[in-house]
Amino acid sequence: MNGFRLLLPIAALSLRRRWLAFVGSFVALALGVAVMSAAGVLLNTTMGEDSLPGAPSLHKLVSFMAAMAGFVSVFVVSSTFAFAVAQRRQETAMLRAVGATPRQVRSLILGEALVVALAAAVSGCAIGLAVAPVIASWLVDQGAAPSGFHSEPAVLPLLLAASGGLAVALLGAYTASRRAGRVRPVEALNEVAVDKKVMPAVRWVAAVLFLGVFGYTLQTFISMPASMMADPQSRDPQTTPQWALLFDVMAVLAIVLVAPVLVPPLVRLFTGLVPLLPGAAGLVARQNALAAIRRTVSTATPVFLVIGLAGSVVGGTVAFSDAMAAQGRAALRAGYVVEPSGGAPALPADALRNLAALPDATLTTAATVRFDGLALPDQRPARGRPADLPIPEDGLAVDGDLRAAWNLSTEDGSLEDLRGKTVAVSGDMAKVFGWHVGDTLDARLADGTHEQLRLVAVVHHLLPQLPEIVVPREAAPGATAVSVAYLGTGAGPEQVAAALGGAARATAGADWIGAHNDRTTKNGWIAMLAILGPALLYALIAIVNTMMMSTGDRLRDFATLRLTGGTRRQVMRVVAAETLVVVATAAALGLIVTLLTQYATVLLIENRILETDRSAAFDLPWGTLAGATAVCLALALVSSLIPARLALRVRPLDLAAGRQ
Amino acid sequence: MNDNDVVRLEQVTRSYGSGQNAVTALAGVTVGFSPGSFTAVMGPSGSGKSTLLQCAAGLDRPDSGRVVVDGVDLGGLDETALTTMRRERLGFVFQAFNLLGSLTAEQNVGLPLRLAGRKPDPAQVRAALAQVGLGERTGHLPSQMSGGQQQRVAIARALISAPKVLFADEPTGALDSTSSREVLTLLRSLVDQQGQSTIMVTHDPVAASYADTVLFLADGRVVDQLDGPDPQTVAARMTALEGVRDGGGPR
Repeated sequence: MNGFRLLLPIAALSLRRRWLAFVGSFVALALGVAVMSAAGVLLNTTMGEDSLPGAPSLHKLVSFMAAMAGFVSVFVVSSTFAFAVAQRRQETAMLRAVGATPRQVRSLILGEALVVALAAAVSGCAIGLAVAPVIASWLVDQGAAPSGFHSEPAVLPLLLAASGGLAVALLGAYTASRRAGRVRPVEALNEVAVDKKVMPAVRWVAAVLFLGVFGYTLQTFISMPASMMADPQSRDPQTTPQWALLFDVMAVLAIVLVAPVLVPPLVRLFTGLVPLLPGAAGLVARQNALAAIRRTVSTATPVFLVIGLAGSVVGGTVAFSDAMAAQGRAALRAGYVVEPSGGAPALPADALRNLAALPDATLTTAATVRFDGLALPDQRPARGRPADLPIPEDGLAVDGDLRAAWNLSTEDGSLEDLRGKTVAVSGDMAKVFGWHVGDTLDARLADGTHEQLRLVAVVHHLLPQLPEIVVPREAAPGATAVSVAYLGTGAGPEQVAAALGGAARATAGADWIGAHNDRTTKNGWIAMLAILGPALLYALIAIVNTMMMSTGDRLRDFATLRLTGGTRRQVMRVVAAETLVVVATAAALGLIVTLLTQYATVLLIENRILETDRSAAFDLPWGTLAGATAVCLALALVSSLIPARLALRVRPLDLAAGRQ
Repeated sequence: MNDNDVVRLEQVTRSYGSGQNAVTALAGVTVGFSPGSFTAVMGPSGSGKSTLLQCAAGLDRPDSGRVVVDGVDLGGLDETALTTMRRERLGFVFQAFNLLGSLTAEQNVGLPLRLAGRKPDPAQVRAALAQVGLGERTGHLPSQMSGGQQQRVAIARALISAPKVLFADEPTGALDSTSSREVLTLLRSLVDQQGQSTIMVTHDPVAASYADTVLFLADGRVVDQLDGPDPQTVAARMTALEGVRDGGGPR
């Protein structure tokens, strides 16, 4: 590495001279490492807490947060470093012209990247450590984490985040430096590069690969093999939107990889009329976007990430929520759902008696019962299946006819037989444990008693509003606190309210489904915000960052435009037009991803949530897409126009001279 | 000094920096350029020749004195009016920073018209390119052309708005001798055939010999003038100038 040592002083000089590009790379990596290390510290804190009963666990949530932060960081950091290297093409060619070998050019570029990346990684860890407690207290405030949850600083996640960030940055710089090293010395004289061969074979292979993984992940979630179903959290429809992030990410990856191919036709489409119109801004913007495909892709990437992820996630969450509400409304037969009011643990007995006395009343009451275990007796599980519930699970002990409250279709057996020492379970659960109608299951209840229950029905699809295990009251004698009552009656709402006398709260069926759904959806949004928030915030900062870097790259063009007779205002218009083209292209890519993920969402909903004979509507979250695009556009315009305006303060000729 | 002059500088001074570090680039220059003439401006580096061109072309503003171009006093124009004036009545060719790399030859040539808010007439653009001998390269990008060809595109672009004056700042500075000859011959023929007023700054005696008149600058003043120049005479005067530089030259 002798050459490297000799070139080090040049690297230091160049660092001082091209500070804007280096600041851009520094910011990208420091913040990338910061979000990764913050999520990593939290992940480390929640390690081993995966056994909490109930909906999405804190550990899973934080894992997703860390994965998403890592995913976005990898993208932004590698593309920013590659961009910074590509910006120096002319300088590189100059070095080649004075006798630097491609290898020396590579080590110079890598040396500089290493210096910047080391400084950025260290700063990123410090920021991450400071941010982690803030995220932790937000999670507690939102009820997503138990009170008292706080982040505990640890070295390992910091090391992982820092080294991961370093590796990605250097990889981005290395690929770009190989390209830079191949620059022929004569190219130093050419003023502007026109990108050629922006889509190497390896990129195609990777794109196809990720598209394949997208399809495979989707297929896995639709068919859901028993091994995966065994985790109650992965078969719970309420957490499906979060799992859907997995294939959202794959779709985003695939589209980013093919972006160099998609961008030129999109730019042509958006600017098709421009050459036919008078005025310079549109034409220059169009030609620049087409000539510098790499720069266009680099600046469009963070915008695309924001729009594509927002569209996919919001669209998916809304679709899942709507589907679950629709499914719930279709299945709820009872006209009213009665629940204890004012935080009371159970419905009072006299209120229930009054309800039963209403005209034409059918009353089904249910109590929550905790199952510590449910298994085939004698420890003889079906081959290759788990023996018992992995974690305690809440079931429902029903008094009355469940069929009067809910319209549930069964895969096997009949709910008519749900009397005495019997049990009904969801189809997923039966599949996971290999249970069949007629099997006798040993249930361990929370009070330590055992009950031998005969499996009489396997319910087709489970509903988010119902637990997976339902037994008649006789099967769980200990469960006496009625937590919910389903009422069918000819009486009106006033009569029902009067019968309750304020001791409990009755809600019309459709409204109850709506409110229940709003609650679960709200929890879903909080989870999504926790998972995506840091990543999206980072991507927004990256928009500002790449836009500023890209404007710094344009001073020579600004000079030419000014010298050709363009006013400052016209140059600003060119910058605005270019930003518009980039954001429009990114929005189109975001739309493509959203189309892809929404299609996947519909498939998932039809197969995992809705009854087989129902189909889900294909909707696009236009409002979210438009809103995300507007935010990105505003940010991008501000961050490209302000530096351009500052650069234009000087005389036209000095613009070109004073490149830094 | 003549009222017909297409460009006239009167007692123009310009210095850069301030206090102890102030450098005088132009120390009271008065000079006129008549229509249809081809003038080369020469001088040792630091003599102020580029500043003279930039002040004459409205790219820079003098500290004092007047610059009148095509009958308009540039001192009375604000930045936007000055830009419009440059776009409509003046043409520029520089050593570098001439073409937008992402635009084709045709689009680069049409750019001044677009900046003026008009849609270029394709026939007019092709005619301008044909005039500089590039009629068949209209769709090429600068990176697909030689340096000489790029510079000829820049000249075609300067000519598209039929400028009163063509300013050229070291137009052959980055070219090899063959390309230089092509570009200079082109400039000469524009003067001869169309009476294109041209002012060119150069340090190359061969380039200067293509002009009708050579102005010599030293220390911010016009110190000599040569009509009907040839390379040898120009080179000799330049050598002399380098020698007497510190003592100031004859007026």
